[in-house]
Amino acid sequence: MGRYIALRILQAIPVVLGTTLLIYFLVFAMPGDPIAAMFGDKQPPAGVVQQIRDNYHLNDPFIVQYFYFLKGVFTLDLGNAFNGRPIAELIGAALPVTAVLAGLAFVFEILIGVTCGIVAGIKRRSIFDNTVLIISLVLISIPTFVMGYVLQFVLGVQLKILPTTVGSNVDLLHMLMPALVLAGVSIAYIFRLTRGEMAQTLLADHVRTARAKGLTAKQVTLRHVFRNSLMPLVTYVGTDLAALMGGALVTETVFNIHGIGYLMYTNIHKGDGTVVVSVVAILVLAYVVSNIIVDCLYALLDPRIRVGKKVSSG
Amino acid sequence: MASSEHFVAKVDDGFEVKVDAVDTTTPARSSWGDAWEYLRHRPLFYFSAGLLLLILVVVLFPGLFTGMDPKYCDISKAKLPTSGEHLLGTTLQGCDVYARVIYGAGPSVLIGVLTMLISTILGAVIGAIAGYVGGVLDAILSRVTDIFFAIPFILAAVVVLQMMTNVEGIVKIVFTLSAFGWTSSARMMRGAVLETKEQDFITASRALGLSKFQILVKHIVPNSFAPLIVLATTSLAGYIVAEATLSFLGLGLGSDTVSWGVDISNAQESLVTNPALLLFPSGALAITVLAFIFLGDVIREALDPKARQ
Repeated sequence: MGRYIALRILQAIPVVLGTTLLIYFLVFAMPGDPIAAMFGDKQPPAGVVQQIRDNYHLNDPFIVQYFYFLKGVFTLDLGNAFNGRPIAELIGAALPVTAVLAGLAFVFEILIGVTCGIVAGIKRRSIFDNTVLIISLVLISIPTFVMGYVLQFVLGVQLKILPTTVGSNVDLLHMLMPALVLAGVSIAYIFRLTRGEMAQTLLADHVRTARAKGLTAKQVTLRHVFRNSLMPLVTYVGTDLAALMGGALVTETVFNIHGIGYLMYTNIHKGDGTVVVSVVAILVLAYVVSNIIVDCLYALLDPRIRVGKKVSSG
Repeated sequence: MASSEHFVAKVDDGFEVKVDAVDTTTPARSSWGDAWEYLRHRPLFYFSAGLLLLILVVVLFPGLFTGMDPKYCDISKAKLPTSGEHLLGTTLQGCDVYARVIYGAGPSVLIGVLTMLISTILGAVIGAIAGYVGGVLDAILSRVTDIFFAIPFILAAVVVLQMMTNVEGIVKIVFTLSAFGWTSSARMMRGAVLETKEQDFITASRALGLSKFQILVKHIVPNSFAPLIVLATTSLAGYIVAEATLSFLGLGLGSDTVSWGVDISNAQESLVTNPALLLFPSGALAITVLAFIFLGDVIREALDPKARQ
């Protein structure tokens, strides 16, 4: 197990390097001079421009700049944003907000998606199954931001049950609606996945054997059916955690939440590439770490899976 | 004596014969033929295919459905409710909502279809090469796929679109979405090729003297293609939604274009006073997305007998 985890971490290194390099390249290929943008209409003195370019290593070759950035990531000294505040501080302030949002959305996904999926998988073609199936299709087919506006309008403006925007009130009550919106599409996919897997596993031979042995319906469902349906679910949930961080971009814009997505969005418009690259690097790290955790969960759930050893198909 | 004889059932009478009996009078069906036979009897297939056909007609000949010009806006007719002249009312600028919904189908569907085609083909080629050649090339291609997969899709699209401010229109969006959309089909194709490669009929065709390339094109790719078709159909729905999302973030098509995404994002401002403006383009978009998802579902069931219930 230890060797397996070590291998997975080693494999993740090229992914982290490659992704940050790719994003770094894309961001700094953006047209426009960021220094000129800092001064707006005014013409800055040449000496000042030179000073700033030196501070940001803008005169060095691209790859050298990239290594300065990597060094910054590992020493947690990411430099300053164009507005003078340290980037590490900006991210430090935004990250907990997004973490609350994504965490709450994650809880919704598991609670609603998996529970509905299990019940619908067992009672296929029941009224419950059909209702939830239709709701899940609606959730998938409507863009997240439309869902956000509709809920804001119905729950916030008309019924006045929940607050419409978050702003500086980062608490559970204010985060409830944004988290539900962020989780929406994933709830639908998790529901469909769980339902399908449950229905397929229910037909397996070992489930019939378990029933024949005289186990109760609850024991069969949880121990023999659900546990064997877990694998695809773990895969989906693992990659989805990072997608939630990305989806936060849209949700945070709709609900005015000052998290990671909002930070990135505003700085893309400002042309402050250093902030954008740093934020994406954090998100990619989150994705890679959650993937390693998923792979370790695999090994726990299914002892056949080991890196480098082929599972015999027989 | 009769008792000394052992009782042996006649081979012809055994139930095994009936179980193993193959009806040789009807011609054999290929897996595609079998899939078609299943699809033919599914109402959902006709429903989604019919809906998509209708959407296609709207995209190709919007003039058949409305005589109005979607770009002609009369400010004196702003915010009108539904009437005989304006079926779905008018927008804040006095444009006809129905005409805009009809003409808005074009860019949305076109972006979805083009992105699906490009990203699926790109992904299939990369995945097939990685899976078939294996070794160092597979390791490199798989890591490259991992790298593109690891960047959240919308974030990547936002960064690229911001970079390409001098390119205009649909090409920009299709390029951006394809550049980061191919990874799923590459992974799926690689997995399918790896699985197909080990099967006996591949060994057989190698024994028959087919070259490596012939085996790849004639046997491995056609037999690995089924899961890809399902992925392509559902991802198309995703690309249509992605275009709307990018327009909402102000990075999609320009606000002078008539498209569902642009209209939805314009409708935000008047959500409280006139929710219908949000409802109609979003509804049209949702119906289109749903039609593709239904089609994907029913094709999956057709191609994978295990998924049939």
